[in-house]
Order: sequence, then C-alpha cells, then structure tokens
Amino acid sequence: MGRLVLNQLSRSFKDVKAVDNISLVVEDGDFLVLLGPSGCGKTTLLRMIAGLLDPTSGTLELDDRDITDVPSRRRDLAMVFQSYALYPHLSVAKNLAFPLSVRGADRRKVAARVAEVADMVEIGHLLDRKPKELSGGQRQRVAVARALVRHPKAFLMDEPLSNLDAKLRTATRQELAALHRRLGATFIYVTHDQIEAMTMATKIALLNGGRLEQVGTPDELYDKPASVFAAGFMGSPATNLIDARLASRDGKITVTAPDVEAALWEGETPEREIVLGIRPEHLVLEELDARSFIEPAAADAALRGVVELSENLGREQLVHCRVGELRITAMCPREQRWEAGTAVVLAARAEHLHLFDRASGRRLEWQAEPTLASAPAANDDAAHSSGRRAAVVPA
Amino acid sequence: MFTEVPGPAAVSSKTLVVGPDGLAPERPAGGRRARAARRLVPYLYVLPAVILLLVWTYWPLVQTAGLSFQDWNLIPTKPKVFVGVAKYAKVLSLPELHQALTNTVLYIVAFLGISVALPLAFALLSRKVQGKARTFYQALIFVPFLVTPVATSAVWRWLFAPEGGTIPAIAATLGMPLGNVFRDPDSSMMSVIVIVGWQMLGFGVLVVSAGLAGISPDYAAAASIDGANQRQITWRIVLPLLSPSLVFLALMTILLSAQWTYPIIDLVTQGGPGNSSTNIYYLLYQFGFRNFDAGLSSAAGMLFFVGFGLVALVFVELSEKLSFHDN
Repeated sequence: MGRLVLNQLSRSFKDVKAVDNISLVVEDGDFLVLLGPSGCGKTTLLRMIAGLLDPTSGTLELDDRDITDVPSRRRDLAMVFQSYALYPHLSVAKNLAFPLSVRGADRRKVAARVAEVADMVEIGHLLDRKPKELSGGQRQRVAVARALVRHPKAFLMDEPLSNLDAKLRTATRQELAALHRRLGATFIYVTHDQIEAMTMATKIALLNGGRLEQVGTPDELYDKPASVFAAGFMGSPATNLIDARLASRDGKITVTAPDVEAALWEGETPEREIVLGIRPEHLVLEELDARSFIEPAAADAALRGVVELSENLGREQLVHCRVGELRITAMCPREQRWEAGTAVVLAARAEHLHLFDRASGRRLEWQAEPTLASAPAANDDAAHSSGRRAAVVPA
Repeated sequence: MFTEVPGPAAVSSKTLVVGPDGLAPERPAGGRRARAARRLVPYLYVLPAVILLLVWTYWPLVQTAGLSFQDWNLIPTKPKVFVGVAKYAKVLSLPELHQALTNTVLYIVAFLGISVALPLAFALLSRKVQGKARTFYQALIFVPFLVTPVATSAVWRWLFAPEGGTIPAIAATLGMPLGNVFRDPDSSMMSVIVIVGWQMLGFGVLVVSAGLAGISPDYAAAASIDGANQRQITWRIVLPLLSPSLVFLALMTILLSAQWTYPIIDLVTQGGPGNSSTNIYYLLYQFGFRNFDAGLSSAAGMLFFVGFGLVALVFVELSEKLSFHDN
C-alpha cells in the first residue's frame, strides 16, 4: 500500500514561499509526476514527502498515518536522487545492500535480494564495481536498483533522467514506466520535462510558483489546460495565447482580437476580457484569397496574418505568422511551401479553442444553464447547444 | 538505373589559395622553431619556483648529506675532515637521541589526538551550527593558529607563572598545586603539548570542516531515506568519505608537529629540564649550533629525513587507496 495525502502543505525559505498551500491525494499505485519549470517548488515538495525538509505548515499522511514529524528513515520510502547519490566508497553490491543491512537484515537474505534486484535492472555483471567505474546510464540503474531492494510504500524520484543523453533517456523512460506497471507501486516523480510527464504519468500535478496549477491525467492536462500557465507550459511548440474579448452577437458567442474573429456557438454572455489559446497543430493555414476574406468552411475561428518564417522540422514544418501585434505559430504538413510575406488565414475549429479569464488566468468552460441542465444533449453537440454560459473552472 | 550519391566534396577555404604550381602554398617558414618555442612556454612559467626550490631546499639537502660524512665545527677557516660513517655511528649511540626520539613519538601521539581526533569530534558535533554563527565559531577556533609562537609562548608563560599565574592560581584553589610546570621534568613536556595543541587545534578543525563541506549532503539524505540512523550515517557514510581528509591531516600533523613544537620548546623549556621536553628538531639545533658539530647534526638530520620520508610515503599510498572520485 502507498496512499499519500498532502494536506495544505507549505514551506518557506526566509521570505520566499517555495511551496504554497498544496493539497493533493496520491492514490496507491499512482505514477504521479510533479511537473513545472525550475523554481516552481517541485523538488522542495518531494523533499518534504521524503522527510528531508520540514514543512512550515500543513500535514502529510501515508496510509492514513500522520508522518509529518516522522523522520525519513521511518517513513518506509525509497528515493532516486538527481545525482544518484551512490555511496562512492562502496561497491555496487554494497550500495544495493545498504538499505537492508542498516536495518540489520540477515546477510544471506540480503545477498539473495541484491542478486534478484540486480537481475531485474540488468546490472548483475557490475556488482563488484565502484560507482566511479560506471557510466551515467549504469549509475542510474544502480540508483533505481537501490530503491527497489526494499519494498517501500512509495518510490520518490528527483529528475532521475536529467543526466542521461537523449537516446538513453527515451529508453529509460519506457523501462521506468514498465517497472511501474509491473510493481504496481506508488511513484512520485519530479521533472521539468513535459515529455517525461506525458509518457509516464498516470497523474500529473503541474506546479507554478509553489502553487498547484492543475492536477489530472496527461490527456486532461493537454486537452483541457486549466489555466493560461498550463496551456503555455504543456506542448511544444507552445500554445498560441492571444488577448481577446468575449461577447455575444446575433445570438452567437464571439471572440474578437485584432485580425482575429471567431463565432463559436449559440448563446449569450456578458462581455469579458479573455485569453484565447490555440495549439499550433490545431491551426490550418490557407492562402488568403486576394478578392475577399473568405471564412474557411470547417473553421469557427479565423486569424488573418502574414507569413514571417517557416521552419522545417523534418516530419512537419512550423510556420510563424504575424497576426496583429502577435506572432502565431502553426504546425503544418510539409507539402506546401510558405514563403515569407504571403498573406494567410489561420483557421481553427471551436472545440480546439481554449478560453481563459484574463484576470484570473483560469479556464472558462461552457455549462448548461441550470434550468436546462436536465435536458440531455448529445456529446458532439454539447459544445454547440444553446442556453449555456461561461463558468470559471475552480482552481 | 541507380546512381550513387557522392559524399560531400573535400573543399575548405584553405585550398582555395593556390600556389603558382597549382598546389596549396607551403606553410610560412620558421614554423618549426616557433612551435618549439611555444612548447617551451609552460616550463618558463614554473622555472622561478623550480629555481627557488633548488636553491633553498634541494641544494642545502645535498650539502647536508655531504656534511654528514665530515667533521667540521662551522668555523669557515677550519678544514672539513672526511670521517666516513663515524658521525652516523655516534649519533645512533647517543642517549640524548633516544630520549629525543621517544619524546618526538610522544609529541606526535599527543598531537594526533589534539589536531585530528579532537577536531573530528568538534566538527562532527558542530555540523548543525550554520550560517554566521558557523563562520564566527570557525574564526574563533582558527585564530590561535595565526598567532606567532613567540607571542603564544609569552602569554602562556604568564598564564603558567608560579607566582600570580592564572592557571596555578586556579589549580591551587582546586587543591592541586602546580609549581613551575616548565621546570618540572614530569610536566615540562605536557606544558609544551598544551601550548602547541592550543595552536594546532584550529588548523585541524579547519581541515576537517573543509572535508565535511566537500561531502555532498545527498549521501546523508540518501542514507537516511534508506533507513540509516544518525550513528550509522556517521560511521558508514561520513567517516569513510572523510578519511582522505583525515589521512592528510594526520600526515601534516606527523610531519609538522616536530617543527611546530621547536619554537615553543626553545622559548619555554629549552628542551629541559634534563632533555625531558626536547625533540629531534631541537636536538638537531643543539648539535649544530650549541655544540658546533655540523657533522653530527647533519647525520642526525639525514636519518630523520629518510625516516619521515618513509612515513610520508606510507601515508601517500594510504590516501591514494582511500580517495574516491565523486563525479
């Protein structure tokens, strides 16, 4: 078992709040990734869970036991450090045996378990070596093996792949995910790399400035970013973010900004300052017909702009366009070449538009009016059904 | 039909410059000499240091080796007489030398305690002291090391003065009359140890603290998550990782303690009473500059040079074995 509950956890360093009032439940068997830019407090949070740092306020529970004041050696956790922290004076075998031998385990059982774990991560041939005689990838495996040697309630990992080269990182990512599936254990994994988060996590906690921005599955974070920060952080190249105005005209919800016009679905809404987010892969580029501005058939939103630069990524190309004052990026197939200076229309469908309140930065979702809430609407039509209003997703 | 794509043509900007014969022009003349000069430059940088070492260390060493086979009383007009190994034979048979050697070993053992074991205990116990308090505490403990031996001796002579000295006064109130510690064969050596130890303690604490600071806190953190308690972390992680620093400190103590004690012995006890507080360096000085027997002094000096050289060799080997590379 390994169910972890973080309850209003905070940690300050002098005047800086590194972790600010975070509440989070990590269910047994979760692969939770603490994701965020550097300085967002993710490592501080992990070190508090490990017992290496005391929280300034708040409590921690592991399997319904309050462990806030329990020293780390009694928390029954295992951790893989970014530096791996392999004891440099001990051989690989003794490094692996350390968590068992400090607990006074029987020597023969220790040797058997070390051999078993070494086989599991394929380092059996390295047992007699010292850490300095290992490559980066081998050290990483030893660090993981040392965590595996016991059966801890949860595995904590602090950017364990950041010191590996790109190719090894991809391979190790898959192995870690497989290991998690096989063990069925709770993993808490810190990274700033959204690809690691997207590929391995069952649940991502996105942090920014010590606060939780969004908690959800990788799909939820990518498809329904809960804030401007989440939209901007997840995805590469980053989501295009446009300051716009939400209004209704002729019974339709509209979004307008310089050179941007979108007519979404039927409904009424008070005017509102918003941020419009559109991912580059959801923009379709079309050459602007010289005769008139034609709205592309399948599009609900249209951005008029001029191509500034296109970048060939091999699989596809990035076309950067000037729209109003902004630079908007679209990801396009490589069949068509886009010369700088070409006037274009960038089109997107309504379901691919992310709307955020300008002041709070939180996502705006459409919900049925309370009076019509009971009327069932087909899922596909849900976004287009009338009688809806904007609501801010609670933080 | 397939045609193979050729590899990129070998074109560089250099070959665009073509000589009259259609080949690339020769490199400018004198290149070889310039390259040789460039190779010489690093040696020029170390030359001043090498010259100073030769003049002040190695040449005197060679001269000492030469003097150890001669009889000479340091008077320039007197001839040096070659006597073979007679001076070595004499030095080994002198009872003063045996006393000085025993004292030197006792001094070293005492200083290993004061400048290795005690600093280790201090540094381990004061690990939790951080920030400005740590800087202040380390400065406080290191300052005695910077005080000149002459000033140190003067202060401690006052402190130990039989009439009105602070320490005898305190001892008297506790019912332990001290008397003149510097004139008592039972306490003269101890007094030198206390004074030199007071100076060396700070050096030891500094070296051990630097060694501790060089150990990544990740190891202790990892060990504590692995289930180790504070005692296990200290004995199984910290001490092994600190051992290279401790070996270095022990070596410095052994090699330098005899030199550090010399000025204090000279100023406080003059090796007495009755050679009870002398050590080999002080004896060398007495042989050479009290008895004016350059040969005897040099022979003893060569013996100690070889002896300490062997000790140093053992320690260097040991530190090679213990060292770990933390990368």
